[in-house]
Amino acid sequence: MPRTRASASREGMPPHRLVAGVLGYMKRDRFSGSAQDIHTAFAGLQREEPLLFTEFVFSSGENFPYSKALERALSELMHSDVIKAFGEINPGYLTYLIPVGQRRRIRRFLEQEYCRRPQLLQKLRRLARVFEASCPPTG
Amino acid sequence: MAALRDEIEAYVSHALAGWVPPAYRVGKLIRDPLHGCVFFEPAHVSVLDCPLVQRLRKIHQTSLAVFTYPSAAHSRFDHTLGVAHNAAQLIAAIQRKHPELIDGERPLEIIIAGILHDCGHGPFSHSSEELIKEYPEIRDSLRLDERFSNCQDKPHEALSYLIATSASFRPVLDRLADEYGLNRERISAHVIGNMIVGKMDVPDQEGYLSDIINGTFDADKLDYMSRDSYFTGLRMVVDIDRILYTMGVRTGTNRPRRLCTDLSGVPNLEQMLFNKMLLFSSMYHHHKVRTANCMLKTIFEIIRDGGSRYKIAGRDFSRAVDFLYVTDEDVLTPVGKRGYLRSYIERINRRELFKRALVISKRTVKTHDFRYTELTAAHTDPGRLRRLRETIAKRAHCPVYEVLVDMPEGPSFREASQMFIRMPSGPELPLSKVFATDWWMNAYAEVKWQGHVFCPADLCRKVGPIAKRVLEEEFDVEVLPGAIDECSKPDVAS
Repeated sequence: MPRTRASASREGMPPHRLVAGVLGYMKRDRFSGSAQDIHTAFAGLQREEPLLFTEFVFSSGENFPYSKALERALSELMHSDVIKAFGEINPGYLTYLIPVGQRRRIRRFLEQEYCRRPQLLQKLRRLARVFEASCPPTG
Repeated sequence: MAALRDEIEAYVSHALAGWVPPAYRVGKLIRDPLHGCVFFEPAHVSVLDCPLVQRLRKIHQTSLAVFTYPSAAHSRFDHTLGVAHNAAQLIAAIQRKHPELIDGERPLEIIIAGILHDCGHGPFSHSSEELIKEYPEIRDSLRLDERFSNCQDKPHEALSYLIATSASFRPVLDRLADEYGLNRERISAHVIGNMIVGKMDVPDQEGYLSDIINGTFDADKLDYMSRDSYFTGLRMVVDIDRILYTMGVRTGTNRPRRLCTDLSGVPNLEQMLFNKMLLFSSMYHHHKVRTANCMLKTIFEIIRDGGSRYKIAGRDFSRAVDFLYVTDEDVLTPVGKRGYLRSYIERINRRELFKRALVISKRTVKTHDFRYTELTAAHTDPGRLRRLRETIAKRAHCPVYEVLVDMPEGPSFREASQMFIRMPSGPELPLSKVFATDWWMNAYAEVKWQGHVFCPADLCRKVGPIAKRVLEEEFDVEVLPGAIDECSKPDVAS
């Protein structure tokens, strides 16, 4: 049996922290989109910083680039009330809110956990800008 | 990847040693409780006879759910027959609407893919799969090989692909061609493998072929939902006939050729997704099923920690491929096992399953922010889970194998965003735009999802409070007294 992996041994960071980081460093408190929009946006982020996204594999040949790790991370963040989803008419296109307090909590956590890797935090801030441009607050 | 392929090659060569595919003059009629009398062509029966497939008779489809649902003793082989049958039905449904899309030896390739699709499963199906996916050779293959991008959490599909495309399996396909007067060149192991992993070389042109075996509503799903519900006794309806009637292929310029359905077929797909959620809450995530699953995984942990002291069927599980050499029976037989491993296995055989010492859920943990995410995402880091267990076990003065922490992954409704619905007019829509699976997932996480700390019954009173404190310290969360109280409340389903 192989030794189990630990988060410290990862080249990047666990998917839920990475997704939380991108959303936590956004300047806005919300974004909108369908599953397709969000997965496509993150597939774009992976192209920007492949070493950070080593845990994400986006399937090709599907209707859109889909990542199981991303779906799981988003689901865990919603499960914890870090992200709240709401929508009205179209159930496939939702607006996601990350309340100010939750964003502060994410940033505090990451800045403590990765205080020795300021470049990584810098990358997250930059990716947050890119993501904001891909998934605007309303469609 | 090359090393893994070599190991699979050795496994297939070992499994097929001395076996010659029998040739049948006539097909066989096999009775199935779900599908009735199912006819298999002679060539299909020859593949079913293959030792790689026959091994699946000795692997439970739903692992140790049989300890909770006594009639859920069906095997991967039963399921394989159902998948092959459903694949044949899907082929016929497509041929009725688009006869030009499936011809020649294609139907045989599809059926063979259906028959082989699960031969990469280890003992107890998905229970061992949770371990297999952590092996470096598997993680690297899944992450780096583009071919496997659709089977991230399902390494058995990648292993089935490698088995089907191995050089040692090729003579089986050649003999089939020769015996049944088919064209060797037109039975492609590569195409069969691609269907298994759900990834054709040109998805836009031939994606509908892999959709039959590994797609959003494929032959596999159509069977396992019906079969698992039938054998557990959970009452569910999967209207396969209606689904087949409404299924078609997207055609036209600039539109990927994928399976799709009419708007009139949507209620049946909704029903399937609803069933999937029921299967999760009633069976896959039932706390007794999870306990048994954790105990099974611990058997392999004990073997790992024991160095060369323990083995199963001569395998030390230093490589992922070792799981293919063993079946459920090999794991649970106490014969040939010794010491702590033997006593642990005997407990499982006597159904002395561990009990709940702590329930982790949104009800029982007061903190709802990123710290709770860290707690529920702990399952993605087996090293961290092990350290947690070690801390709890040390304080409770018991072996680490007596404290099991389980954070199961919730259901995914990916199907809803990948399946396209043909509307009476206007553009096609993904199923997710027709009804709201996102809300289902949220409601599941909100109310039904539970993680647990399990331990032997006589340790619960001690382990529960210790586990509560350890989680509070490690994750900086507030765990409510209900986390312990809920463990002693009777569960209607158990």
